[in-house]
Amino acid sequence: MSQHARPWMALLGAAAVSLPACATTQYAPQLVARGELVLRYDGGFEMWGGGRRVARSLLYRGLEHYVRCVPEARDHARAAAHYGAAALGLSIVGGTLGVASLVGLYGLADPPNMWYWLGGGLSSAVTGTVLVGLARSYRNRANGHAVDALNYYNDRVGSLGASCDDLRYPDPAGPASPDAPSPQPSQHTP
Amino acid sequence: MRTCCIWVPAALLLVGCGYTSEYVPPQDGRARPVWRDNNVILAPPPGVSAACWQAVLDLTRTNVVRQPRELGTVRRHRERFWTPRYYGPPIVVITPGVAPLLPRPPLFVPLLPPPILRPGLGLAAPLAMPGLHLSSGGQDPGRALVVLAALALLVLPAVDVALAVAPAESPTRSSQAIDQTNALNDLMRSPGNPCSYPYLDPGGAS
Repeated sequence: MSQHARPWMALLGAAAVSLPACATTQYAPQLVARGELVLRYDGGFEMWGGGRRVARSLLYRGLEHYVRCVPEARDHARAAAHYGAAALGLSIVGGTLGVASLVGLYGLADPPNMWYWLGGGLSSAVTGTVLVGLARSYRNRANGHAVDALNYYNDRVGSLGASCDDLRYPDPAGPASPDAPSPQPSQHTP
Repeated sequence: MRTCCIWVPAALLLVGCGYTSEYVPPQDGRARPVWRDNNVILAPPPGVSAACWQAVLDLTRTNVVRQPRELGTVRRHRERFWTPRYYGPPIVVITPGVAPLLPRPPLFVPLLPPPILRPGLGLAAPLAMPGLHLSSGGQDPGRALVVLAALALLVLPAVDVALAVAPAESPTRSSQAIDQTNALNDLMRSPGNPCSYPYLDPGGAS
C-alpha cells in the first residue's frame, strides 16, 4: 500500500466502524418498580425488566410475552416485532443488491456489452436504494411501536409494581394522582 | 435513467417517513420516554422546576433537555467569561528572514502545476479506465452517459450500505432522552433533591 493510500484507508475503515450507532445510555436507573420496563440504548433500543434484558431492537423478541397482560401493549409489541423483522430483511436484501451492483462496472472493460452491464448494475443499485429506504421506514415503525408497548404496559402494570407473571399490585407509597389509571389488571390475565 | 431519477428520490423520501405515536402520557407525575419524529424524547410530568432540570442535566451530563418543543428549551447554565474582541486591521508579525504563516492559502503557487484548461467544460482531469477513452470535449453524449452511469454505480452502493447499516433514529438524541427520563424518575422517587415528590420531602427541597 502506498504512503498516500494509507491515511485514506484508515479514514474509510474508521468511518465504516463508526457508522453504526456508537451512542449509549450512560445513566443506570436505580429505583425501578418490580415489573417496570426500563428503556436503554446501546447501539439500538433495549428494554430491561426484572434485572434482565427483555427485548432488543430490531426484532424485539420476548417483548410481546412480557407485556401480554395489557392488550394495547401486546398489540404494539406484536407490530414492533413484525416491522422489525421486515426492516431487517429489507436491509439485508437492499444492501446486498447495492454491493452486487458494483459488478456492473465490468461493462467499462467490455465495450460491446457495456450497456448491459451498466444497466443491470444500475437497476440493482436503484432497487437496493428503494429497499433500504423502505427498511428505514419500517425500523422507525418497529421502534415506535416498541416504545408505545413499553409505555402502555408500564402505565397499567409495570410502574404500579406488578408484572404479567405476578399480577399483584403492592400498596402505593404516596398519595394517588387524580389522573392516574386505576391499578386494575386487564381481563387477559396470564 | 428516468426510472432512476424517479425511484431514488422516492426511496430517499421514504427515509423521512416513519411512525407517529398516538400515545398520550397520563399526568401521574412520572416521566416517560415517548416516540416523536422518529426519535425518543422525554415527556416530563408538569411542574418540573428549573432547579430540578439542572439536577437532571448534571446527573446525565447533558446540556439540553430532550423534551417536546412546545414545552420550551431548557439548557444547562454555564458560567461565561467576557473577553474583548479585536476589530482592528490584521496583525502581521514581521520576523526577519522568515515568511509569516498565511491565514489563507495563496491562490497561485508557482511550484504547483497549472490546471488543465480545455474548451467545452473548462476544467478537465485525465480519467483512465480500461477499454474506454474519455474526454470532455462534448463530442459524444453517449460517453457522458457512460461516465454518469459509472459514477452512479460507484455512489449508489455506498448509499445503500450506509442506509442499511446506520440507525434510523438519532442515537445521541435518543440515548440522552432515555438517560434524562430515567434520571428524572429516580430523582423524583428519592428524597432530598429538587425533584423529589412533595410527600417524600415535606420540608420542600424545591
